[in-house]
Amino acid sequence: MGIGIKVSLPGNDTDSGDVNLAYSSEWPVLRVIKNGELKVLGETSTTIPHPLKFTPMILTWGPNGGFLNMPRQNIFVDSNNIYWTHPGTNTDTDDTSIMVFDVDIETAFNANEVNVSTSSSAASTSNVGIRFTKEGKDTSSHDLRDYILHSSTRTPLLHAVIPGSGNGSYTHDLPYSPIFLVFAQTDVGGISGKPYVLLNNFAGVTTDGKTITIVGQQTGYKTSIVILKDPFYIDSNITDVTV
Amino acid sequence: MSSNLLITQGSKTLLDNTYPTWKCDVRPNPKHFGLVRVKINRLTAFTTNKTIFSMDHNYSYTPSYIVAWNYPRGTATSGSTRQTFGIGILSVTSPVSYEYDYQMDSKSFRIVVSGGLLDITDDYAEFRYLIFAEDFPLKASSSNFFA
Repeated sequence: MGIGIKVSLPGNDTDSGDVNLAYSSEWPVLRVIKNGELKVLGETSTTIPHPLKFTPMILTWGPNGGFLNMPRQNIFVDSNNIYWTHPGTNTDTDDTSIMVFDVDIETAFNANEVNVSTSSSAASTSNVGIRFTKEGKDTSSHDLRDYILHSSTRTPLLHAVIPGSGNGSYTHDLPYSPIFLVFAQTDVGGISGKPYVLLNNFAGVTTDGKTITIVGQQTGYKTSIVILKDPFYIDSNITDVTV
Repeated sequence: MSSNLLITQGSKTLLDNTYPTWKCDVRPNPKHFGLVRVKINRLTAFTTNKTIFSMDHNYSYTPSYIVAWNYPRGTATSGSTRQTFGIGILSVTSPVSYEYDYQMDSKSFRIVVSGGLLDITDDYAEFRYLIFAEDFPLKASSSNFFA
């Protein structure tokens, strides 16, 4: 193993596994390049140039009657632009929320190692811990938005990026069923080239929890599976609802 | 005077304090993360959305979040819509067309069922949710979103 940084949670050693770490440089955290609301009232489509020089992972929310819901199916991305389209002129006064991450979905990535059987519910709630603030902010702040790393929080980590083409499948090495996203190139009227859309909302992805399979994708159209390393045990806070 | 932090590994940036990261606070109660297991024995046809899960997040603003679903829970892998746990809205097209949707505002997070034009019976689903401190401070048009 190379040189890196590990910050353990209170009472744990840094070699006691991912489950007990507040931070490990084995995995990039999900840097948010841009998070904002896009004003699209009265528009039918718009193009947002981005300066990243790669095709970023994006997530989008809302609007839906004043609420943020997710994800939007009418937003696309490529290495130059983010595209927003609408069936007819948009009359919704609420804005579309977009989060752009520092993850190139066309470049393969695999985390260096998997060191525990599952993810963690452990967290620091004591006064001992580590805090890195954003530029210009102070560690006395109680606003978590001022921090890039705070040991009373957990963040999904990037586990793998698997670029592909057409239909295909990928079997991950995590010992639990992770949260994942699938992006796929598609044809969009009025947009040249083939931007990516988040495929999860369409019947184009199936999984048994271990193998993620992309179906119905055209030959030669690129795809990308992004797998996030969970920050919590899946069963650490279960609510049962019976209707 | 502010100080900058930048940790890289080769060409990969690991930590950079000029950008925010997604952070889920582990301290609040109710928790900002969890798994909601839904069993619908019978939900008669309805025209307004049915809220099946709601929790206050106690932020003073509308935070970002993700929800990933597992459907149908507890059965063999089958069906073109099955995911465990892909992010997104869960649209159930057969046998009854309805949808599990998620709502977030400045007060609470909710999981709702919409579109139940016929009775829904014997349905199982799981939803993993993570609520993050990060919101959407930028208000911009397409021309200045990345300015």
